[in-house]
Formats: sequence, structure tokens, C-alpha cells
Amino acid sequence: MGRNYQNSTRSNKNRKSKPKSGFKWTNTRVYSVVEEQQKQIEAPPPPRSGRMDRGLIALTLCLIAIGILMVYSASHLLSSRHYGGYSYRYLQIHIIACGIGLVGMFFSSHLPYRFYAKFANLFLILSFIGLLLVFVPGLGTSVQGAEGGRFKRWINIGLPINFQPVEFAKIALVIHVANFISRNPERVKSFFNGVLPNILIVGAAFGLVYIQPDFGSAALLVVTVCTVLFVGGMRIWHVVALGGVGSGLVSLLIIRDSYKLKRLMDYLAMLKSPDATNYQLTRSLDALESGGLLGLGIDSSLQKISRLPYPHTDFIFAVLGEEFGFIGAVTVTFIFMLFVWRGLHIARHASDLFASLLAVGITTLIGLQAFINIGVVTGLLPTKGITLPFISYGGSSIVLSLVSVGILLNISRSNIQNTDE
Amino acid sequence: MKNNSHLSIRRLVFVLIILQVGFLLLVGKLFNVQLSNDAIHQGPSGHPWGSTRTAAVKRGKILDRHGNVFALSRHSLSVYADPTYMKVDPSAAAQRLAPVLGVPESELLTKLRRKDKRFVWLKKDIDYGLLDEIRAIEKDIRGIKHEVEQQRTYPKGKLAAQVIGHINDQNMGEGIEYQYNNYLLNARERQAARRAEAARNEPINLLTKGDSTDDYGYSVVLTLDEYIQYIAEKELAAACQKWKAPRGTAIVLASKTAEILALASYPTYDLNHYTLGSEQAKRNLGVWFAYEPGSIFKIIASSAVLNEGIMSPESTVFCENGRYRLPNGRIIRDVSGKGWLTLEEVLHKSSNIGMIKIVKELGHENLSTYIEKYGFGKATGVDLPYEHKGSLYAVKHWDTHSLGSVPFGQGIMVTPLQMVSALNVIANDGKLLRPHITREIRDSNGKVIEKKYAIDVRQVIRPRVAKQMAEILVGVVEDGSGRRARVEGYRVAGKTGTAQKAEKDGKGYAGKEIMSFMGFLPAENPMVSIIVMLDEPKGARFSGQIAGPLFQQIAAQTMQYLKQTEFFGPELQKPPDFSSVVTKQSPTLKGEGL
Repeated sequence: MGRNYQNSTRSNKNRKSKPKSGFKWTNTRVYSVVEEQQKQIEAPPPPRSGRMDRGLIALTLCLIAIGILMVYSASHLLSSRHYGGYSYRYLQIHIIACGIGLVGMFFSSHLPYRFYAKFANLFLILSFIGLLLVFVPGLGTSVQGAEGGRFKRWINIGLPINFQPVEFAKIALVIHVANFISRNPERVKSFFNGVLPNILIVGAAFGLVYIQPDFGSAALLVVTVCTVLFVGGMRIWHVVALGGVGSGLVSLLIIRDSYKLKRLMDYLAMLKSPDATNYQLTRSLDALESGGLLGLGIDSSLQKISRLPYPHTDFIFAVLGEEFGFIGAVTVTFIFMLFVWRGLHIARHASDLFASLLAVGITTLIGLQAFINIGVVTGLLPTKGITLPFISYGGSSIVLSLVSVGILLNISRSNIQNTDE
Repeated sequence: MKNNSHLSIRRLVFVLIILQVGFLLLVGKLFNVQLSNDAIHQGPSGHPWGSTRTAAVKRGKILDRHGNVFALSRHSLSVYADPTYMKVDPSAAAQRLAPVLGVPESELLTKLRRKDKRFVWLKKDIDYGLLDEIRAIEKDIRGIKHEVEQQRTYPKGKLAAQVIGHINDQNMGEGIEYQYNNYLLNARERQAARRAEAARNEPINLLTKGDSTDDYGYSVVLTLDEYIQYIAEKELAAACQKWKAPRGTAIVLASKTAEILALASYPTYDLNHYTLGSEQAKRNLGVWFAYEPGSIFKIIASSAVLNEGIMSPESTVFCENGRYRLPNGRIIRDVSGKGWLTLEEVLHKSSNIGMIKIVKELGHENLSTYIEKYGFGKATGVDLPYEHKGSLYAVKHWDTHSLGSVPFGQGIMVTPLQMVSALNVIANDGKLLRPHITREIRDSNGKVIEKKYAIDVRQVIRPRVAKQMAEILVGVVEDGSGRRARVEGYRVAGKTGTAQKAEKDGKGYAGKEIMSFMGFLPAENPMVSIIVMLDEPKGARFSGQIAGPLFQQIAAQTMQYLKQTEFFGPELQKPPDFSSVVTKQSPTLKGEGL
């Protein structure tokens, strides 16, 4: 922070010399500029004087635009079926969510990121309360799953947009871990003082999400936090040991749960012969395959009509692949690659450790989510209920993704590289 | 960088690389799915959509009432290879494959040695029973694959082609195949179809109960009788060819149950060569062809006036000696001019002027009511797709012109099925039954899922009036216009109809005619109601000459068959008991697994 202060004052001094050179030809303008400069000097210097990362903004807006297009294309049949011939219901909700998200992004990009460090513990407590509220009858909305299981993932807040607490918990945990490490960076090198407390908290969150049940999100949570710990300086052999124990526990959970075991077996069977029994995946691969190189064109997906499950949420990428072909699918994948690159670039040049780790966490969260979703749709990974960030329909997911992009943007404003310019 | 010195740049870059490699893997996978293996995926099944049809599931059968198969699906295997992908020595592979496929080893060897190709058929259309053996081979030899294909075959070929129909990959089609598609599909496809239909926002008749868990579709057992259908089609085709009629139809209805025993259309086509059939031949004229019925429509007004008690069969009307000028100047002529005729005689002689007079007595509001009561202007509700509901425009907008044409069946449009089901009202003590063509739905184990019954729509006329009408119609055949329709040994109640055909532009009539005859027999205890219709026959003026003999042919052979097989039970006087018929005549129904 101190460095920031110096930077900004220096740059102010530099700028002060400019009016002198311009004095000769425009008097009035010069005076106004000088007045402004004086005001700025009197006030405490703004700590974040750098520009936001425009590349990140552009990529995000691109994804949002693609998302709105695809949500309409994938959901209008569904909407007209659910709402008596009215095709725009899901699109409307999606656009409202995008609007709320963009406003949220604007605010969070102007809110100094130190704020999150200050309230890290509060966020953590709130997110745990949220995860518990899902199980309160009347508040938690349970949704019938494809294979007949019931999923309690949403909180009914009386709006068309249901709130999914796990989305909030992901960010809260990342904030917490980043804050924990940045307060005392040496601590994370010790297992009992540094790693274990975080693992316990993440483990608790994992458990709550797991019994919703939402194995995909739970796993995403753990992997993201471990990535933050890893970048934050955790010892390598701790990483290896934890990875071993973690995968052991996960395989135990899978073997105990017939539903997950079936998915995994389906997946393994599918690796052997692609025309195996997994209905969702077969439909999704059918969609991608019929897309070919250039796709069938917008709104001409055949699979979305009836065969593809969740065409506007989990499997929206399959609709995209069918309508825009290999070109479209790869373009979106590249946008996510660029997004990850920008995010980690911001993390690399952040002005302090907390900001760096926060940026790593958020980028990993979004990047991994995109990777898992596309991986599921293309059959690279076993089926999980994870949405495609910025593109899938889903209120709380899109709002919180955009808010976290806002946090990244705020971090990018104070980037060392920017302020040095 | 003081505050940030704990950040490990190397680890950050490591995370970046891991994530980016992950995304590149996705790109590779996308390439693999979307672009690379088109040949293998699309080779055997053509369009990727088709591949879902070739899954190892069977579409249900379509059977007639005795269990004779009209449509069934057959599985076959086709084996192909990817020679470049094979690791095993081709000669060893050929040695292993030759006995299973029944192809000479040398032939297989030349195919397997072709390294320039990534796809060669080894053998198409082999027995499905070899599936296990071929799977075992696939396990051992990389690059050998099979494809399960499903073929719909129609053993009866042309018989009842328009009734059975056809369905394409998009689940669009005609006939029973289309109407009962949701039953014929296997359970999984049924669900998909249900979602598709819901997406199209169409109310449909879907199966909500008793979803069977197996992968076989339900079988549809029709009310059709293979032999009666054969008689009807044979005689219809012969008559159409004799009189050079471009199209015609014949319907045989079981009077008491309104089951359709035969529904023939001419021209026809072979279901096994669906694409070669002309579009004209694919129309089911019995339910689709709307026409002006002509004189056979006279039974409606006559029965109405009797039922209202306004006239009796002996009441007389003045028939103007064959020439009658309507208030709007139009002149109605009768073929043979008469003076005073009784109602009975009006029908026997089929006098148009007499009919107009009778309707005058009846009142046109009453006539409208009875036309609707008889079921005209509405689809009969038979379980066949694309049913025409006819048109009652003239009846809804009475004027001088329509008053002078509707009584004898002009100015309104009806379908042959509507017409015969109206006649069946008279055969059936005044009750209108909804005709149906399906007896029951069975699952693949032969268990009955759903049974169809005759639906009693409404009482149209009193039973006594129905008997009176039947006697009048017997007179039509005995000594009226329908003499050529007499069937030896039975009293036939029937009515001829010669309708002038309106020009397509709606401007009057130009010599083309539709000849029809409908009737039921035996008149005292009706068993079957039959309608025959020929469009634009050439060479005769009156339907008595053309449609009458056709009716006679179909009715005589049908009655002979019914009598010989004791179709409606041993005694004619007993009400027909259908439940015993199927089990007695078709022991195959249970064991075979429909």
C-alpha cells in the first residue's frame, strides 16, 4: 500500500508539469486542469489510480453476450412448454440476472478489495449459514433430478431467481483462505498451524455441499482452495500427501453412493465404447457431432427440442456446439483460456499477496468451472451438474460470477504494472 | 514487490499451464467428437439422428384382430472394420471371422488388408442371434465393429397399406404407425417422444400408465380382419378398374360394436416400398376424402321426420311430376317424374323433389339438429390420423339454395366413414357409436395394456323409428334403386347415392359423379354395415349399376366368411361376443410375445 501511495504522488507530480508546457496556447483549459490537480493534492491520494483490465472486461462481455444468445436459443421451446406458449420467460430472467450481475460487477470493481479481507470471517459465517438454510424445509427448494434423486441446492427468496448458496460459499472460502495466508505467509508452510485449519473449514463446506447433493460443486470448492494454498506457498509434500488422502476419501464416497458409482461406471464404459448407456452424454455427443465444423446455424439445434436434458443450463455448450459447430465451440473455449490468462496475469501483478491469492482463487474457480462443464459435455469427464460460467442460465451463478469479475477488475486497478506506466 | 514477495511466480505459472493444457485437451476432444470420426459414425446409419433408431430396441408390432402380423421390426447385424486401426494380423482375423460371418476367408482377407480405407463393410444384414459371438470377436480384435439395424417389414405388403401407414425418422407419418407411435416406440423413445410433443404444445394421446421397463414397444391389435380387408380391397380394385374410377373406398363396419373390419382405399401401394408409392395412393380415403354424399344422405332427413313424428312412412308428398321450380328460380328434376308419393316411395325412387317437400314439413332447424346429431361436421373420433371433419357451411347458413340441395346431399361435405357411421345408427337401434380401428394395446409379453371399446355417443333416433327406417331401406334394395345390391339369403337395407361432383373452382357441377352405396345386413339383426364409394367412374349413369354390384360382392363374401367362421358366435340371433374370438382363433397371440 505504501508503495502505491508513492507511485500515485509521483505520477501526480509528473502530470503537474504538463500544464506548464500547454500554457502558451490555451489559458482557460490550463487553469481548470490546475485547479483539479490542486484538489487532488489536497485530498488523500487515491490508492488505485490504475486502469481496469480492459481485456478482462471485453472477454466477460463477450461471454455474457454469447450467453444471452444461447440461453434464448436453448430455452425458448422449454419456456413455451412451461409457460403456455410464452417463449421468453427464461430469457427474461437471464437478462435480469445479467443486469443485476453487471451492476454488481460495477460496484465490486469500485470497492477496494481490502474490504473483503476485513470481512473475510463474516463472509465465511454467512456462507455456512446459507449452506445450512438449504436444508430448512420451506426455505430450501428441492428439485427433481434427472435420475430421480432430489437435489436441495437452492434457497427460495420469493423471486424468480432462486439463490444457490454454494455460489456464494465458493467466493467466501477463497477470500478466507487468501486472507488467512496473506496475514502470515510463513504459517502456511506448517501443516498443523497453516494447512489443517483451512482443510477443516473446506472439509466442512465440502460435507455440506456434498449432502445437498452436489458433488461437482463440492469438488470444485476443494480443488480451488487447494490451488490457492498451493500458490500461497504450501509445501510440496503436503500437497502430495493431501492429494493422496483426498482422492482416497473421494473414491470411498463414490463407492458408497450407487448413483455416483453408476455415473462413474457409465463414464468408464463410455471411454471404452462411445455408444454406451449414459443418456445425457449420448445426446450431448449427438448434438456436438451433428454440429460438425460450422454448425447447423442459430436456433437449428435438433437435440435441444427434446432429447438433450437441461439444454439451457448444464448442457448449453452442447447446443452451442450443434448450432455453431466446432468453430463456435472452440471460440468459446479460447475465450475462457484468455480469461484464465488475464486473471492469472492480474494475480501476478497484484500489489499484495492477498490480492494475488484472491485473483488466483477467482480465476481458478471460473476457469475450472468452465473446464469441468465443457469436459462433461464433450465426454472428457464424468457427468456433473456444473454450469458454464457467464453462459448457462442460472441466476445466482451468473450474478456472483460477474461480481467476482468485478473483484478481479478492482485488483487490476492497483496492479503494479498499471501504476508504473 | 515487497508485500508480494511470498507469491510464488513459478507456482502461479504452473497453475496457468495446467489450466491452459486442460482447455487444449477440450479443444482436442471437441475436434475428435465434432470433426474427426465422421466417417465411422455416419457411415452405417447415415444421418447422426438415424443412429438412435438403430439402437438395440424393437418397435412394436401391428396385428389384425386374429394376430396376423401387418407390421413388425426385425433386427439385423452389420459388421464393419477399420483396417488401419487393426493390430492383429489380417489373416488371423479373417480366419476367426469367416465361420461366424459366413464369408470366405480370402474375401475377408482382401478387405482387411486394405490399409487405404478406414471403413469397410465385412458383412451386412446377418442374424441378430450372432450378437454375442461378434461382441466376443470385437473384444479380441481391435478395429472390428458392428452396427445393429432395425428394419420395419410389412409381411402383407399392400394389404391395408393406408391404414397401417408409415413413419419417418422425425416421427412424422401416417396411419396406425403414426397414430400409435407413442405406443409402438420402446419405453425410452416413448419418453423422448412425449417431451417432443409437449414442446410442440400439442395435446396428444399419450401413455401415462403402465410404462413397461423393457426396450420393446407395445403392439397394436387392430379390429381389422385380414380376410375381410382382402375381400374389400380385391373387389374395390376390380370395380375401380372396370369402371375406370381413379379412386374409391370401401368400409366394412361391425354394426353392434362399430369396429372397423375393413377399410380399403384404391389406389394402393406397397408398404415395403414406401418411397415408390404415389402420394395419391397413400391417402386413406375412408377418413380423409370429403365429398358431397348425394342421395345416400336422404336417410338423414327421412329418419328425422319420422323421429319427430311429423310424418309416417305412409304419409304422402306431392312430387310435382318430376319438375319443381324453387323460389329462386332453380329447377329441380327427378329422374322419373311422379305425382303423389309416400315417404317410403320417395326413398325407393330416390326422389329429390320429394325430399325437399319432406324437409319443408320437417323444418330446416330440425334438419340441422339431426345432421349434427348424426355426427356430421365433426370428426368421428376414429383412431386414425388426418381425419377430415367435413363441412356443414350450408347447414349453418340456410338459404333458398341450400334448402333445395342439402335434403338430397348436396352443398355439404362428409367423409365415407361419417356416412357409414350414420347408417350404423339405423342398424343399431338409433344409437350413434364412435367407430374405432384398434382393439387393444399389448406389451411385449402379450399382456393387455389397454382395451378399446365402442363408445356410445348418443341416441339419435328412437329404436322404433330405426326399425321403420331399416324396413324402408330394405325396400330400396328389394324393389327400389338398389336392386343390384341384393345378397342371396339375406335381407339387405341400403341406399344408393349418385352425387354430382362440384368443380374445383366451386362453380357448379360438370358431369363428374361420385357413386356410392351403403347398407347393412341382415336387416333384422345387422352384423355389418358397409359403404362403397367410387369417384368419377365412367360408363354408367347411376350408382345402382356400379356401386350396387360392388356392395353385393363385398357383402356376400363377407357374410359367407362370417358364417363359416362363426365370427359373431354360433348363433346369429345372439349378440356378438368378441372376447372369445381372439383367444379361439389365434393361439399365437400369447406365446410369441407380441
